[in-house]
Amino acid sequence: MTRRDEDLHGERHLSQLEKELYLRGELSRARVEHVRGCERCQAVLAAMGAHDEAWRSDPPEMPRRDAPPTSERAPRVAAGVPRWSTGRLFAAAAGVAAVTSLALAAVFFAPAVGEEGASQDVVRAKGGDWGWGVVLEDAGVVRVATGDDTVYPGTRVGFQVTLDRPGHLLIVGVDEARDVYMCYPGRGARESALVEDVGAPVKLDAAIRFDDKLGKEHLIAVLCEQPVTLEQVEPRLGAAPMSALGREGCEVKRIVLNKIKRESE
Amino acid sequence: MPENTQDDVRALYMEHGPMVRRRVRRFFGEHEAQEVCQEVFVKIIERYATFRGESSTLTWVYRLTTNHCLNRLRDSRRRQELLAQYTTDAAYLDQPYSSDAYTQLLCKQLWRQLDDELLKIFVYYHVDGMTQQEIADVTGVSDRTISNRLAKLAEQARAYSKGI
Repeated sequence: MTRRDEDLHGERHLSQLEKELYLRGELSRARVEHVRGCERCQAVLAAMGAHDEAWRSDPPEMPRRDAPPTSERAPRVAAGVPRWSTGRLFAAAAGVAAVTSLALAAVFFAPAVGEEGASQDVVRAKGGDWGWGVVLEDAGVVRVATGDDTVYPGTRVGFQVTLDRPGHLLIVGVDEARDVYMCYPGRGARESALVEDVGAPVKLDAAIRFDDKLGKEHLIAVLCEQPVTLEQVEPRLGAAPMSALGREGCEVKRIVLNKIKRESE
Repeated sequence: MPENTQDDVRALYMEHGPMVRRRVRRFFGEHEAQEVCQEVFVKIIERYATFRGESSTLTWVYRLTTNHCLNRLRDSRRRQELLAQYTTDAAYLDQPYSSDAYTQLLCKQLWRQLDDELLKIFVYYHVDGMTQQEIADVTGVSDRTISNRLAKLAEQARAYSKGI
């Protein structure tokens, strides 16, 4: 019986708990042996280790027992500004990525959620690989989008990403009329947001609902090493392939959906 | 809180803070995750005095964090959304006749009806990729019990699939 965390040879990759144990030197010898021969596990552990190191070098304030809920307190920093040193994060992650990237690009993570049939235009990617997923909800039924999936006016769209290193993320949509709309960081935003969490899927704080215009909906995720603005991306969105984006250190992934009228309408 | 306990909690925070955040981010978006991490550590502070060291601190914190996150996710729509996110890259979905596929089917359809215990076992087994022994260690119940619970999930899935 094949489980999701087995490789093609049926060997089980580290579970999430085992990864945490490994980082603390508490993993059993037998499982450490697996890590020695598994590039995928090595890469994930390296990214997690770098992230942990950065966290510990500048940890967020420790919660207190009598602390009010976060929502009642003033934010520590302005929205969109990292809570810990981005420079240190990138320095730590880049060192790890440089060692692991070339050999591991093909095996870093499982195929990205929702990317079947989707196109991917790589401008230039340093480091390993990343994945994204588009989650659709219609009338209470939730599914993950695949390429050329059918959607409807009113379909709710959410996103998740899995990164091997922190990065600046921007997700935009382009509808049939070539109108561009921002999906992540959110409507009204004009610039990417830093996503710091690596090594496991994370849910993004953004969701959109499709409007009534029918036709193709292109959802495009741009991940960059440096902040990127909508103005920098927008002129290139109509280009095919998206490699015309022309920015170094950015990687673009895209999924195309077909928005049709509901049968009941 | 006694001063030595406070020091212990501070040490726990430094050691396990990244893990807690990573765990929480599997369930929640960035905005909510900050608040959930806060809640988890408040819970750790409250309960640390009663921690008897029957498992490693890492396992204890991992379990406490998982339980807290799942308890926060009682809203059925969000549970369903989570499941959709987690399961679409599952290789075993390509094997329609494996027992895992049956379990997957069950969970996909009956996710909102799973009781808390089955939900936790499901997450540990299918999302975290733990073995039955690992789940037994984390949850503090026997591996035989875990095996029975997984069998129950699979059995219900088969019954459900026949009814389709």
